[in-house]
Amino acid sequence: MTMNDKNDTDDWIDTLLRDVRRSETRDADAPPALVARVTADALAKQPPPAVRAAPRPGAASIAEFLGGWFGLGGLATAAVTGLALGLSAPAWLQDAPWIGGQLYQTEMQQAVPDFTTFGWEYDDG
Amino acid sequence: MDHDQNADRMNEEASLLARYATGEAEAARVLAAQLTPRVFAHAQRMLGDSAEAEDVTQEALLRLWRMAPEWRAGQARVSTWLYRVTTNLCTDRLRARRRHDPSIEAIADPADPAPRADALMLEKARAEALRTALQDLPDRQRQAVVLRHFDGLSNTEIAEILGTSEEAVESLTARGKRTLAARLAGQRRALGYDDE
Repeated sequence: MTMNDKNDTDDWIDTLLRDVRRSETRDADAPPALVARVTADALAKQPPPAVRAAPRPGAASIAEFLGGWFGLGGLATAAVTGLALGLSAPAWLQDAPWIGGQLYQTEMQQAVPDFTTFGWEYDDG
Repeated sequence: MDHDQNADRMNEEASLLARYATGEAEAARVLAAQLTPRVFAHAQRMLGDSAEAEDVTQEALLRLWRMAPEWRAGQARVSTWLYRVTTNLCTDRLRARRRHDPSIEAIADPADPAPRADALMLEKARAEALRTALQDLPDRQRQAVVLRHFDGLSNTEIAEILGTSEEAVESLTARGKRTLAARLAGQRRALGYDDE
């Protein structure tokens, strides 16, 4: 077989394949009964839709307002920490001047007038 | 078929399959309507028998429905996976036929495909002659020719489906076409392809 023979062979078989493919209504050939059976199989084997919990508008809207569930978590952590510190703060924290220690007390003593049994007394110095 | 169109279609199929797996009934109907004709046409070309092609189509798609929940996007293309399953089912059927009737290889010549005046009849004669000649090809050559020239797949996709290299696919397709040419040479003129 020469190269020309080979090309000629390829050409006419390629043409035949193309002509037959074109003449076929490729995607309209399946019998309707077959499509119906396949569709029935597909529906029968299909997983059920995922069930989602019904939303709770109250809780969801509060959480949304506070920055979502992350924001709500942060808020809860801060509240618990504050409560714990208030109930039993460590000694070093109680003595810290910028929080509850001496500096605060000194400033408060300077700024707030003394209460006496007789009413306000101002130290005019 | 243009390969860009092929890629779009395959992406759409992957998306539909994901929706199917979430329980969307409409996705089930659309997938069945889109895939059934294509799988059936491929099985029919491979087997040359409509009843068997229907069985294979239903079975191949049943396997797709079953594995849809485990389908991972990007693991494979839906069409490629489906063609591979269909091709394997067809191969099993062809082997079973040969076990039951070894003479099946010797398929009778088609009826005289002399061209008729009517162009439609000529088309039918060509399709019938080609269908018969395709049945004479070794399985792998037939698979490669059908996937390339009827299903419009690239050599890369066919290699993936057949589990072989692109070079092997080229060789299978070329040998398949040469065998078809030899088989149909005597009918060439009658089928309207002048050899002069």
